[in-house]
Amino acid sequence: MSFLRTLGLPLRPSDPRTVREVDDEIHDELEFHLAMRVRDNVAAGMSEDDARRDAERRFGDVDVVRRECRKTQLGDRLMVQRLSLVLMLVVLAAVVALAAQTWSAQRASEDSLMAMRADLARLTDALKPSASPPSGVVRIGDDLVEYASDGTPGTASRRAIPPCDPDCWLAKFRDASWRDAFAAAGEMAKLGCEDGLPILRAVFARIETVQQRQQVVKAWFFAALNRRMTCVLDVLDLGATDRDLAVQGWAFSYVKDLAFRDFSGDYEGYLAWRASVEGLSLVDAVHASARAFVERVRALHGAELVKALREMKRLDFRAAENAGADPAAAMRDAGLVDAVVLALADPGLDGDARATVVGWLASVRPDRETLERVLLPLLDADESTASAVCRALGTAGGEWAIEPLLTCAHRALVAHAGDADGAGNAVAFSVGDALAELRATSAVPMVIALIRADDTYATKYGLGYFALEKLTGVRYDESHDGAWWADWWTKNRARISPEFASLELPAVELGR
Amino acid sequence: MPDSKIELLPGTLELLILKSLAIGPLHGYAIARRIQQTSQDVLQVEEGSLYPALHRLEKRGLVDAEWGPSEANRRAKFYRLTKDGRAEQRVQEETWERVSSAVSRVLKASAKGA
Repeated sequence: MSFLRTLGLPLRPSDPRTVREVDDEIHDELEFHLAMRVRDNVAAGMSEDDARRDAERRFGDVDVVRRECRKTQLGDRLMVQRLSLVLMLVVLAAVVALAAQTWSAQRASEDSLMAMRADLARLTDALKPSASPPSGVVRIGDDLVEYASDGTPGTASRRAIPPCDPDCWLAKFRDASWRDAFAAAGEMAKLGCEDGLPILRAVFARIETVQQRQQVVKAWFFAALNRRMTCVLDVLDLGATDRDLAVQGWAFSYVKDLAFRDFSGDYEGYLAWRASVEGLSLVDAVHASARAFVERVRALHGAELVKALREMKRLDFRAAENAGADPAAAMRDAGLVDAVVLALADPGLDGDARATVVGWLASVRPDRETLERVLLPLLDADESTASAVCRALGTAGGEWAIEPLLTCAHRALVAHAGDADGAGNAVAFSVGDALAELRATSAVPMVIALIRADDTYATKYGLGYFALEKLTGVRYDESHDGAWWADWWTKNRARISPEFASLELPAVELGR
Repeated sequence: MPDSKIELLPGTLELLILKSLAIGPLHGYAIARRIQQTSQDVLQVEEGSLYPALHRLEKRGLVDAEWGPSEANRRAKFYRLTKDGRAEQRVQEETWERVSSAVSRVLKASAKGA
């Protein structure tokens, strides 16, 4: 392996993220930027369309930026992979050639099979007896919807969608932009599991580009989830078994939100999980997976626990809750709080790992007693943990959490009193965010007093941007320092609450 | 000073990013806004170009990145300077000061000589 060192390449990737995670992070980061620009443009008076156009114009070519970021993040890894591939090719050239021939033959058979399936479906429709619903008409709830290719209007159509057979659906995806592919797949999903899924299965592998197949999985997944259709996991299965890793990655990222496991590097594990939830409704599958997650966490220690924490940095319940499940309750009932307490006591965990565990606890929305018992002592821990605790109090706490949050902010300001511009004071950001989350109007005078006592950029931004903008409705501006806010307070305090009408800002000492 | 916007000189984007992060952790959009605001809208950065530069800095260990909640209640990637990044920022800033003052001296001398 020494030749790799001479090339300046790492012997093994130091980045623990999977390729899919890197792709997702880049996507999320760029989308966030565009969304923020659109938001600010709209706030400045632009229409939604103009705001979006302006954001895209300012940003430049998103695909080029995405490719460049990907190259930077994965360049070393891809280079090592390519070198390995070349070596393997030299040794196994004959085997690869044989495999390529086999693959071509199999692909040709697959295409023929697809075409035969489509022909058979058309034939079956044509042979349907007239007593049943007219050919090419499917039932969705109380609606009869036409999808046949012969152009004959359905006899009882209340909500017609354009007539389309599998080949016609496939044509909608050919040369479609990702937006058009998403829209077409959403339209197909309206046919429901019984009628739409067979068409999806017939066309999915024939959709040419990775991006289009990703959008199809995404559109179907959202539609199936929001309408609580029974085929959510079957749709994800199509993506998870796609021929391209990027499509698999998207599918596994959605599976992760339902299974609470990252299967992107563990296909056998995915198959085992699918088998374990076979025959269960989606809600029951989610609840079983939530319980399994807690059991797994409880059994892990040290490095193994840290590995699991990296895989599941954030518990995102939105998808499961859309499907009607309550994974938070399932995890609470399965003992997640005890598992978190055990994990926090594990000496093998660093600040980042503890922050992840704290986030898990907040996600299951425990009661006040638990939050006070488990989280408040951690406000004295390292900055990373304390920041996570503040965010957790904002997510899961109530009015009672305002005082500890303000105390924590004060302590952080004292700790960073010597730093230039309060650099590195991440706790101020988290406190600001938490106070806004709690809609803590009663905290406004103390927050202003803190800014007045510590006019550094970090405090002005952390508390001004994250907290005061949301609590007071005053748009953040860098020029809003302690003096500006004190003046604002004098002029507006009665407007916030009658009890503030004569309230002076408290005096805050930072002990400098 | 003309009112129009100016394209960045090659090689200056990294310095502007490092300088923006010297005051604390920021996400990419906040960095773009900060450059725009502190240059009083004179410097024009194609916003997308920030991200490859940020990722290069992250790869070189000059900045750390962490996902956290943003002011818009969405998950955002926050960057902050590492110890090496802070040192690099100082070096680049000093180099910039020296070069720009040298160029300025040459321009003034040329003007007098003309």
